[in-house]
Amino acid sequence: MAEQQVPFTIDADFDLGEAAALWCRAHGADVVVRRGAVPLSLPRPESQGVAWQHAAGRTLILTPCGARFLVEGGSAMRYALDGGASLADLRLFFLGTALSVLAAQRGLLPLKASAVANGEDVHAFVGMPTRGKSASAAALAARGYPFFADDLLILDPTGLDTEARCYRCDDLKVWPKALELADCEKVGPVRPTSKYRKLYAVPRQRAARVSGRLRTIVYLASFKKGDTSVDRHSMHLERLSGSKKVEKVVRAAIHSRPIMIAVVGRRPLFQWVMALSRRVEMLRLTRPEIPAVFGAGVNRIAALLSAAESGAVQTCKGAAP
Amino acid sequence: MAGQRRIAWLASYPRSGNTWTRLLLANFLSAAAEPVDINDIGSAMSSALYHGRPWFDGVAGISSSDCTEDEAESLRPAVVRFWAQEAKREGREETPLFCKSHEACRDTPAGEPLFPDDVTVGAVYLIRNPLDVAVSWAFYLGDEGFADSVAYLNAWKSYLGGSGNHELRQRLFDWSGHVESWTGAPFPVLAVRYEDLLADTAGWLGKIASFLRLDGASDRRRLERAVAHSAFARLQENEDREGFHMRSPHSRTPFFRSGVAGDWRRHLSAAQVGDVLAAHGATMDRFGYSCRATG
Repeated sequence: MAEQQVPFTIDADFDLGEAAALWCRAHGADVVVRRGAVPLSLPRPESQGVAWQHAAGRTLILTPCGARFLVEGGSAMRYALDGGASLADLRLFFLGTALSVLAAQRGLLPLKASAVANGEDVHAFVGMPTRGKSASAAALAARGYPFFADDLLILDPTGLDTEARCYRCDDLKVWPKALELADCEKVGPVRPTSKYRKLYAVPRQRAARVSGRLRTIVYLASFKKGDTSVDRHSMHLERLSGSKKVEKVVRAAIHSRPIMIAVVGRRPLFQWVMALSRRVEMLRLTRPEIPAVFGAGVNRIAALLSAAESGAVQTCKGAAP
Repeated sequence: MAGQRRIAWLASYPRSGNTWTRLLLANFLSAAAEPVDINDIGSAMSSALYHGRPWFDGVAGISSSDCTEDEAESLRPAVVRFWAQEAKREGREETPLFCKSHEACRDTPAGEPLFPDDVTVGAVYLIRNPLDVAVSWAFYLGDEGFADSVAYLNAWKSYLGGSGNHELRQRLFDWSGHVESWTGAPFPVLAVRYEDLLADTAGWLGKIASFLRLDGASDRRRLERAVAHSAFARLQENEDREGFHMRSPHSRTPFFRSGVAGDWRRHLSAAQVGDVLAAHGATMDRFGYSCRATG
């Protein structure tokens, strides 16, 4: 089945979880992931940041939980677990930062986004941390838009002239206070420590497919508190265009952005984003940060996505789209 | 401003004039005919909220929401060092990098100073009468009984932000602990009483600018224009017109609500005043507040 194709396959010696199962191959995989020796630093790094170094096609990631990854040439990854890091910690950082680096080394663009699907069409949500990306996607799953991706959406920039093909790989993770809002069911803790509170959860409906055609990117924003021009039911919708569109995407949507700049290069990254901005509808949706009206806001997003699919999005201020 | 010492900390217990001071500095640095928008301080100065998740994630390259609060906190000194290093690499060396914080000056869970000396130019520490802080804090949180805010000032384990919040966890200590931690910091600290800043804003803005070695620190016209652009009525008008991103979602009053000194006399009960004096009398004495409280 064409929709079950992934951009590369992975042979890992640990369980990647249900959502990433379609990426896994026991033999002949494109990428082999194994536990092994991982240095604490790379010799003569070309660039480095707080928790990473990059040199000669190799990227070292040093996570604060004690998991270390060495990603090499887009085809091999070694990991080490120090300081009490668990397999659950390993999985979390693998399906986030490490897989993003791996994808980038293979010429793919990792987006920090949650997403829903409607058939072949995928609608992604990006924005600053805690703006409700995951909760919005999960809540839409109870409104006819199957949940597609959480936290990481991998985009193939090579075909952007014709379509924006994207791939999912991780399960839904939400903060405890978002469980009810998002209308999803708790599965269990993401990390085995009481100091970490995010939970794995199951949305009402999940997309079976592993890939789709990215149709819309919705940048989620909140009103400034005390803005007297809006009330608690207001929702502003703006179509992003030109440099403004690109700036928003660059800032909010590129996963692990400083590392991606090192791995891919600033200019190619910018060119990918420009090509993406020409291919997909980009919207900025501003809504009140009030739990009591979250559900009503999601209903409006569902209406917006329906309009986007029929090419009838109307930007608005103050009223429902 | 060459070298690695680039960070100017703007530190205070919450509701002690930190945001106003940032706006004064932003208007001073912009030196423009028009005031800086309260929602766009970044247009006038390189600044960050040390507790901001977007800033942390953007600089660190890993997501704070994948980390425990202890892990994120232990990474923050490295994050601010990297921010300083990148600013130097990008040639932004003309002024300090301003970093706002409400944290107590203390060590991370990993045992490293949360505010690293090696990248610090100095800290401007805003102190305000804790009785007025209690009132302002209560209005900010939309809880105008004042008992909770008094208890908050008196509790060693008080914190802000944390899991699922826009802000990373910030540990404050109690009010006295906060003051002692900053006034005993291992780098240069200019302690500024909010009440003094109110009484002679241009004079104290000049002292702050001079302490941070900013160009124009003795330019009276420039200082006075910055003060006029940051006048409370102007900030209130700006907030009323456009809202303010730093306002609490729970607040029923504007972020720039009153700004006056001595407001506690209209709001706190004798018992609440007594609780604050019992907990913080010694530190209040040290900064000249006890007479104001009891007089």
